[in-house]
Amino acid sequence: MPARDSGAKVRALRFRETGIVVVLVVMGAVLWAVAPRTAAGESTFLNRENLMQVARAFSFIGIASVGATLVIVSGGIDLSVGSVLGLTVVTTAMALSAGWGIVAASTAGLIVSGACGLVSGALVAWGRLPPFIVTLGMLSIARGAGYWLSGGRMVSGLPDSFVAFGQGFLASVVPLPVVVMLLAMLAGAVALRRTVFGRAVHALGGNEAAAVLSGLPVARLKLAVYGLGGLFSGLAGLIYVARFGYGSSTAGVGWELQVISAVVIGGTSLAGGDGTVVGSVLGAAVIGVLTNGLTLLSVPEEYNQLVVGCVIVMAVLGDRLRMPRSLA
Amino acid sequence: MTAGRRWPGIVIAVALALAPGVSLSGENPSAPASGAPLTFAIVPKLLDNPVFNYARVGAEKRARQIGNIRILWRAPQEADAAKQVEIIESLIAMKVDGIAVSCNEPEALRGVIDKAIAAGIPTITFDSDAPKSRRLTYYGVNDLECGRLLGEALARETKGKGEVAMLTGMRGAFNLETRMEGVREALRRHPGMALVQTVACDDDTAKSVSQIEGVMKARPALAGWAFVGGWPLFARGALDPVDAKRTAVVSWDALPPEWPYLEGGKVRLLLAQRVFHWGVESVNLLVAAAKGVRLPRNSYSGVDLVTPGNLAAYRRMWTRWEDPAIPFGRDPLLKP
Repeated sequence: MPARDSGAKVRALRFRETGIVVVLVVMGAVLWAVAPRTAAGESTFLNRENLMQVARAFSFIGIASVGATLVIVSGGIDLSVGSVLGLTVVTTAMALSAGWGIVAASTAGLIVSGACGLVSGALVAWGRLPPFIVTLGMLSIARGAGYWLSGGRMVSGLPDSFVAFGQGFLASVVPLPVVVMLLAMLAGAVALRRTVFGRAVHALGGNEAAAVLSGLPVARLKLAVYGLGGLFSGLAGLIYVARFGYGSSTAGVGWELQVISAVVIGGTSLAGGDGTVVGSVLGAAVIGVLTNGLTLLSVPEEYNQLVVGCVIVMAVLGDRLRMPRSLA
Repeated sequence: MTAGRRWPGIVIAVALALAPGVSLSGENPSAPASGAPLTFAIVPKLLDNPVFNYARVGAEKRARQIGNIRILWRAPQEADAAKQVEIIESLIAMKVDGIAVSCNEPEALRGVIDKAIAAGIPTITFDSDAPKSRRLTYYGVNDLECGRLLGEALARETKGKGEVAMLTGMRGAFNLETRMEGVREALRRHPGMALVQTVACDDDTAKSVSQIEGVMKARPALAGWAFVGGWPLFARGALDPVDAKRTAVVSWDALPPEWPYLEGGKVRLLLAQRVFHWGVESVNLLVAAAKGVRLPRNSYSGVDLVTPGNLAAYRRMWTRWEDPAIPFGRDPLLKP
C-alpha cells in the first residue's frame, strides 16, 4: 500500500501543477486577446516588459508562499506572514539607515524573521497550541513590534547600493527579485520533494498520529517548518526594502491572505499532507496576472475585488475538478 | 484660577484660527500653567500610519510649550471604527478633559462622540470629520475643496487636454471618496480632459506601484495622474514607467520620502496637509474649549501647495516643525 500510495501521489502532484499552468495559460490567452494593443499592434499584456513587471510585483508573495507551503503541508497554518514581513522591513531599513552594512542589516532582518517563526513553532510544537491561534498572536506581536521599533516613522534615504539590487535586472531582462523568487522556489521544491525532511513534513501533515507512532521527531519538524516560514517571509521583506527603497511598519498588511490564497490556488490542501512549492508560486502568478489584467483592461475599481474573488474561486474549482475524487 | 487672565489670548487665538490658512500655533506658547493638569486624549485612525506620527510630535511639542497638559495618544493598531468607539467609551469613563478624534467612519463614530459631549467632555475631530455628530469643531482640510485644487493643478499641468488617471487607496473611505469627487468636479470643467481610469491600491504601496506600471503599459500616452494619497511616492522608482515630459503627476501629501520626486521633476505638485498641526491645533482648540470658548463649526487648515520651486521653503518649515526646541510659529501657506 505505501508504494502504490506514493506513486499515486506523485502523479497527482504533477497533475496539480498542470492544472494551475492551464489556468494561467487560459488567463494569458484571454488577456492577450482582449487587452489593449499598442500603436504598433503589440499586446500590452503579452510582452517581455509587462510580464517581467508582473513577475516582480508578485515576487514578494511568491517568496513568502514558499515558506507558507511548508507550513500548510505540515498540517499547520501561518497567519503572521505579512506582519513578519513588515517587521523584517522595519528592522532592515532601520539598520541600513543607522549605517550598518548591507550584509549585517540583511542578516539582522533574517534573524528577526526566523526568530518569529521559531517562537510560533515552539508554541505549536511544545506548547501544543493550535497554529491558528499562535500565529494570529504573532500577527499582532510582529506588527506591534515593528510599530514600536520604528515609532511609526517611515525610514527612507537607504543606500543606493541596496536599492540597486531590488531595482536591478539579471542580463537586463529578469528583475533580480524574480531571480530570488525562482531560487527560493527551487530550494523549497527540492526540500519538500527530494529530501527526508520533505517526506517527513508530508507525513506529519498527512497523519500526525501516524507520524508520532512511526518515530518522526514531530516537535522538531514543526519548529523547523515554522522557522523556515518566518525566514521566507523575512526574505520577502528584504526584497521589499530593496525594491521600494523605504521601510515602514505598514509593509505587507493583509498579505497573509494573499499568500495563503496563492498556496491554495497552487493546489496545496489546507488539510495538510499534500502540496507543492512550484504550485504555490504559480498561484502567486495567477493573482499577479489577474491584478495586472484588471488594470490593463480598466475594469472599474468598484468591480475589482469582486472579480478577483470570483476568479480565485473558479481557479481552485477548475483545479479540483481535474483531480480524482479521492484526493479532493 | 488664572483662567480669566488667559482669556484675551485665547480669544485672539481662536479668532486667528477662523481665518483660513492662518495657523495660531506659537500664540502665547509660554502661557502660565496652573491648577490640575489637563488630560487630552487624541485618537487617530490607527497607530501604524506615519502621518499620525507627525501629528503626535506636534501635539506633544505644543503640550510641552503650553505646559500642564498631558496627552494620551490612543488608537487601534489598524483602521477600525468599532475599536475607536471602544477607545472613546473608555476615555469617557476616565473623564478626560478633552478628546480629538480622526474618524475611520463618520457614522460609526457619531454616537460615541455625542455621548462624550453629553458627558461634558469637549470633543473635536481632526483630519477626518464626523459632520453629523455634535463635535465642537473640525480641524483639517476640506477634502472636497482640496480635491478640486488637485484636479485644477492637474488641468494646469496638462494644459487642460488629454486623458488622465486617478489613484486612490481603500475603496469606500469617506475622505478619499470626497477627494476624488473634488478631482472629478474640477476635471469636468475642462472639456478637453477625460478621466479614463481610476485604480484603488488598498493603501498598499507595493500594489500602487504595480498598478501604475500596468496603467502606463496600457496607456503610454496618458497626459496625467492625480493621486489622492501619497502611497506610491513613499517608494523609490515608483514612477520609472512614467515619462515626466509626457505625463504630469500631482499628488496628495508631501512627506519627506516624496520630496525627491519633486526634485527629479517626476511630480509637478504635492498638496500638503498640515499633519503636525493636526496635533498642534487639536491641543489649542481643546485648551480653548476647556475654557468655555465657543469654537467655530469648522476650522479649516488650508494646504501647502508644494512645487519644485518652493520645496526648499517647505523643507525649512518641516525642519522647524520637527525640531522639539523650536516653537510652532505662524507659517503662511505655500503657494506655487
